[in-house]
Amino acid sequence: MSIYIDKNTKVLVQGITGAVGTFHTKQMLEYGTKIVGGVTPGKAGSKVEGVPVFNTVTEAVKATGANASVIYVPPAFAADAICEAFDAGLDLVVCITEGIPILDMVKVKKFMEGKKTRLVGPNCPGVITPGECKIGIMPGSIHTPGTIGIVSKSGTLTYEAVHQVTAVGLGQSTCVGIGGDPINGTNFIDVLSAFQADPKTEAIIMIGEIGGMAEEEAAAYVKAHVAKPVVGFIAGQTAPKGKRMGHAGAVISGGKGTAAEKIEAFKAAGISVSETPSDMGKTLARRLGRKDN
Amino acid sequence: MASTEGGMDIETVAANTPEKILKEWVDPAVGLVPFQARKLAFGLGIPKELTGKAVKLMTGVYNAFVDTDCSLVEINPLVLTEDGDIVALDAKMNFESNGLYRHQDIQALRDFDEEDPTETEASSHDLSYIRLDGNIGCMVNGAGLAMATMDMIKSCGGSPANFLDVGGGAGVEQVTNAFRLILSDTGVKAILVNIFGGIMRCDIIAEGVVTAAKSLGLSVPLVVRLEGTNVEKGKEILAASKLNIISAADMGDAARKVVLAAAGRAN
Repeated sequence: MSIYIDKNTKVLVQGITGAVGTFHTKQMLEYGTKIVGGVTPGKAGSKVEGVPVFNTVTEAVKATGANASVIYVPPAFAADAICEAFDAGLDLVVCITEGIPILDMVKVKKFMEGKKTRLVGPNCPGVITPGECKIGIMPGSIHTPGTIGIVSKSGTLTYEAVHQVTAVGLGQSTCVGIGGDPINGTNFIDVLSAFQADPKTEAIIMIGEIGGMAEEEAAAYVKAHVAKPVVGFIAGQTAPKGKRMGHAGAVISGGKGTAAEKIEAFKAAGISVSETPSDMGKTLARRLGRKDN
Repeated sequence: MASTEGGMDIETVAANTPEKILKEWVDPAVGLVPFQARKLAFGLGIPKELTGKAVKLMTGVYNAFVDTDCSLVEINPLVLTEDGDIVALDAKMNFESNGLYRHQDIQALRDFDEEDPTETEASSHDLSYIRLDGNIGCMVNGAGLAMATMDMIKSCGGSPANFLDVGGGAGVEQVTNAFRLILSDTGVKAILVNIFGGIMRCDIIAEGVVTAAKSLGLSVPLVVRLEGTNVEKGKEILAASKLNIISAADMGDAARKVVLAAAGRAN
């Protein structure tokens, strides 16, 4: 078991004929992901890395039986692509695109209401179930199949956590990058509840950062509903107020959204907080009663 | 949102007397509906003969917000004149940067004199850079890892000179630009490069670091921590460069070494 994706997930690539889409299609195929089709309007009939291209998501789903898609289209067209994927009734849509106008996402969020599809992202590295399926841009090679679920707002910081988990002799059940934008499809709580319900996941690492209230809400959820051990880290303890730290959502505004508040909320919920970013693996090992190594 | 209170300390009003802040939730499919504006107008105590004008003003503000991709439109103060008019005496608009590509006219208003020249330079190279007041320059890939690297430096007793995310696809040119930015801050006493190579391979980054360090004649100690795809090849390139590069095993090791280097102490 795992969450959201496994070896049977059949994936479409939206924006497959673009440079980024083509590059990552190759990477995902090499990892073993079942990429069954691509979508680029007007390019139906062509092939990319041996994968057939369709004009619309609906056509692609009909022809291939796909149940998931990944979006590599430029920001100006990404909201459109998300809506199209939802309309086609997929189970999962992963949007990698960074820089989507926030008011576009406000409309997308409205469009999503009442539909069964799950959106992960935008502005995220994607989702990976090691050894089974990789949907996104993360380096497959650093992952090891295992029992630790990882959820994070940040891409490379997730890789760091994966690396540390492997270094202490553990592996990952599924890693989900929820993205650093203020409006996203899947939040910490969605992923925490899925990990809690997943028999293969034994413990969870949750990586947050300054800005917004998502970490505080997640902490309250952990306290009430998550029985599995949770280890946390918050990036941005040294971030200045009022400055947007790369991610659109990573800003301390009106004195709210500081790392200190979030760490406090984590601790109050029984989450083992890694004091520095290099101690995530060790903190996990300690929490699980394993020897540090 | 509307309130008769505050202005300067609206956060205090929100904390102590939240009932004095009136809120209406807008459905993006239909926009601000007149009844919502009326509720706000009555709630603020605007005289009933001016309700029509208030509704017109509020829906206008909402439409301006949406039409120009704002993240904030604030009118303060809003005044009632003796001859029965409603006037916005001052206003502030923040534009959301991801939406700016749709608004050439607003981009044209950008005043570079109001910006930190280094941050302006960074944005022209698609680098995300924020100057801080410490003396350890940082170059990292990814915003989260960049913040975490700053935190790591602080926890080792040092102080970061900047936040810098070189992005996911950086090559020699990006790395060179990043070094130039870091070195433009004359307070920088040592540099930490922390890269977790995913799609961006460590050997490419290492070549970028070596080329940039040679072409810029790097004068301060450089600590490099590489991890991820092709890390061994990357480390070989750094070692073969004959540059004075201090190699680090992990983030913690890197931070400790750069803090020592910035303090002028040997590693």
